[in-house]
Amino acid sequence: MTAVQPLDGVDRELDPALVPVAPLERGSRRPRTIRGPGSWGLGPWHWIGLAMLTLVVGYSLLYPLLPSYDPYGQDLGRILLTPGADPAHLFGTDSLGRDTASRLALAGRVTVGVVAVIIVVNALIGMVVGTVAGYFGGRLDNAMMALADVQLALPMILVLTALAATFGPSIKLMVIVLAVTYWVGYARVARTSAMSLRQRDFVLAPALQGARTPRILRVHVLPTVFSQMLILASTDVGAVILLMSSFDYLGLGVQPPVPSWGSMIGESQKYLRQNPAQAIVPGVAIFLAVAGMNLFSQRFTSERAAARRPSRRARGRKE
Amino acid sequence: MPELLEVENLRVGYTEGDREIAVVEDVSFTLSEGESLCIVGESGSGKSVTALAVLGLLPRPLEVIGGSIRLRGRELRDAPEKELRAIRGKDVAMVFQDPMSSLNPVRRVGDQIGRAILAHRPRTPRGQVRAQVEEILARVGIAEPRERMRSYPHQWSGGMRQRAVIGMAMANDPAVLLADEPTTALDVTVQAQVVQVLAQQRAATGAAMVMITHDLGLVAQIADRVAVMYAGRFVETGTVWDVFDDPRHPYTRGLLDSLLTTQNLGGRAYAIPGSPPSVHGRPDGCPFAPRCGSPLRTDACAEGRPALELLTPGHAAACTPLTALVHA
Amino acid sequence: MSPVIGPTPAGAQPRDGGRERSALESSIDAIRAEGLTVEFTSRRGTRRQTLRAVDDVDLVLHQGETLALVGESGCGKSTLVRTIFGLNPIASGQVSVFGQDVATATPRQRLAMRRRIQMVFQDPFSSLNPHLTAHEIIAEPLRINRVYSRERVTELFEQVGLTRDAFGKRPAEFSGGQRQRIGIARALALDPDVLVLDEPVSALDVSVQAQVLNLLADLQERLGLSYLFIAHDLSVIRHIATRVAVMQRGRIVELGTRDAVFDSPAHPYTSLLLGSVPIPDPHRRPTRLEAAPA
Repeated sequence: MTAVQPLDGVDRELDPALVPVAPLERGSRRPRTIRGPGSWGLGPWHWIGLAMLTLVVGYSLLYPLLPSYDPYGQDLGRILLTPGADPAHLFGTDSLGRDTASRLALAGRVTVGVVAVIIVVNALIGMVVGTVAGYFGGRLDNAMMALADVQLALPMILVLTALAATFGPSIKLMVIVLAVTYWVGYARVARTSAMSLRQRDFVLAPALQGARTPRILRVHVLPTVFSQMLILASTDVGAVILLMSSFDYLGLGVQPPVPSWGSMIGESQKYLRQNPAQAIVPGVAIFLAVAGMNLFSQRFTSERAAARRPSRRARGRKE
Repeated sequence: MPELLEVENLRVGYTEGDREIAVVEDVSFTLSEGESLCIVGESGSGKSVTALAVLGLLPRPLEVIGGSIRLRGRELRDAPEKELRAIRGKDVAMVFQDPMSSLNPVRRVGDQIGRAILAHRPRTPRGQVRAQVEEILARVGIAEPRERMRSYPHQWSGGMRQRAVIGMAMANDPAVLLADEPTTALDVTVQAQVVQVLAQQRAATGAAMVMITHDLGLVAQIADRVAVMYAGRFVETGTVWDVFDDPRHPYTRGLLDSLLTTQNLGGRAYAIPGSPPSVHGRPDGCPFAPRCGSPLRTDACAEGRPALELLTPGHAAACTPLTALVHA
Repeated sequence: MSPVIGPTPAGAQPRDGGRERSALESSIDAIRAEGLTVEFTSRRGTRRQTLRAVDDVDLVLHQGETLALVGESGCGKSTLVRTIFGLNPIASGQVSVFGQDVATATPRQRLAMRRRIQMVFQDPFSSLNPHLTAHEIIAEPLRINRVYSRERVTELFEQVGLTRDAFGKRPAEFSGGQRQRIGIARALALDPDVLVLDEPVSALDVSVQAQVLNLLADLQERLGLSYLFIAHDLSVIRHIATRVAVMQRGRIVELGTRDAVFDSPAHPYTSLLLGSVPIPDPHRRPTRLEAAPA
């Protein structure tokens, strides 16, 4: 059998590199839209956010390389120094004479690390629960959503406090409590996503061709749900940092001597009058991380980002 | 005496990085009182964008980056939002493809039409508003308007909703009606009804109309003048008789030839090879050149954008070889 | 060709397998619906509403022909089609594919049916998995059924007129017409005998519709396919239909050859449908312009 001629006369996508750059007309108003480098679509706020993140993350990663790095060494003769009082201590020292600059760097890694674990665990649980609930519907859906409602009724702080009083506070406890309660947001998104995907033709097609449910879920449903989880996670980072820092501040999360931003604030609360810098410095770190991440993640969630995603066109019959 | 609506060298686009991407380029047309102009094109041609630009309704990041839009001589292009709002619904009204984008699902239909009236005549007493709403619904052929106006949009069928939207648009007696694919989302039999409603409303009020559509059958039934759009530019303009009886531009001819309603049976249907270019994929030179099967096509067609030139009075096409023939 | 499924008709003498069986085979209808009724019940508070989406439908698709099923939204054509695929419970009547009753098929019989009848979907934008490349989309049915081969995928690409550089692209990089081609290739992957096409060109640009219809006509001839072609617009099926069935509110109101239905429609609804398509000729405008009541 001879090969079929391509039925289109021309069946190639024209190379975007050939698109001419239209010269701006003389006298025409320059568009209000912001110009960023290339087609990454990053506006000025995104860059500011990225800069903030780089500052915080870079500091946490690079400062420990300095020879003066010592987050645990106590020097009771030099406690509560203000920044600049001693050139050896960039941000001063805390109530036990430990170098705040070093602790800040370590705290950064600790906080980010724990936040990452929390988000990954919650996103995974939420994704699985939500996808199953949304895709299968029926009683399974009702059961899981009832579970979700119960979780929402539990006040995390009180639960954590109660459990900490019983078993002693620890990072592990905090992560577990959060894992049991925080997944609901992810589950909701996953559920909605799975519910709408269930109806789509590209999920029906493989079913009609013999695909069994595990394959359909893996190949056709999960990729979309997963990308939704990623988007949600990117906006969630800021919230989780704040949440975790709140717990640390109360002493319910990261335990001394390991520093975290929240616990550094908590510990220096008593000395606010004498040395406010000890509270302000970790506070600034939290601010940079949270605000930076929020600003940067708008790249993925703003209406322009939505327009950039391949979207369904509205043409077509109402059926 | 300025025309009712004049659009001159309209250019709409957005910037991506440091490049400017034009979605609509060099579009000019005029609309006289009571006239009906149909802008015909396929997806990616920029026809909807043109209509939205007139009313300043372009979604971000699209913007008017060149040209002028004048309503009775008044420049609309950089007009402040306040001015535009006074015009929308009163001098120029718009009907969209999806009636649900004009209708609020949580408000009764009668209330919404009432609001449209009150927006431009705020001191109308309530009883009078209700009477007018009833009359509008009756005019567009809704049976039992007094009961019907108390229902919500989801309780109405698609065709009824579109009628309501048309009624809402005509409520303040606009001089120009912009209709963006008003029948595309409707069933075939309902389409015919809605088209009749549109025609009848126009005849009753003398409003001019700019209709955006891809349906050439519709154009033949309702247009006085036609502009064929391809890849963001007008490639042919003229009266409806000119364009249908004597299509000049190869794209227009190809479109008419490939209509399934009129092609001869037996054997393959004719189709224009290739597909319309995406906004990013517009080539240098004549945008239709890659698909053009005209015997007049030359290599020169791929360089230099052809301008819309008159071939006979009132009938213009953007095709360099054609223009050369006329001037020869 | 796959072996005939279903009971041997009474009285048939099995001769030397070859010719006699193929005569029997080609006489079995690809799709046969008799008195098919599908109902949906919804409960609104205490009230119970039963909607007859498909109401006592008799329909036959002969092998090798194209039966066009035309109707507006809500007429039940999509429900009918999904019932053929076993996706809806049947209230009464029956539907069979190549002699095999859909409702009573065992899993093995269902598997065999799947190889013979496939579907092409309406919306080129939501019928393809946006995360997969064109190659993966077309390979998927082959992989599912464990018959994957790169040659087969290439062959399918060529059959629908796509070029090799399309392999690695994702749906978003294709035009509507090209996506429909991918959808058609996917449906052909398992070498079916019947394609059910659910409004395959409705969402395409005018200048592309004829291309895809031509492709479908070519494929039918080359591969010996039977088509059940769903449409809402009569003009779309003029070229490709052998017979036409018109559906309204769950019932078939007219059934006949293409020429008969177009030239002398028997049912007023058919006439209404025919008359609703605007004629692209400004010389033939209706003179009376009065709004019909809703």
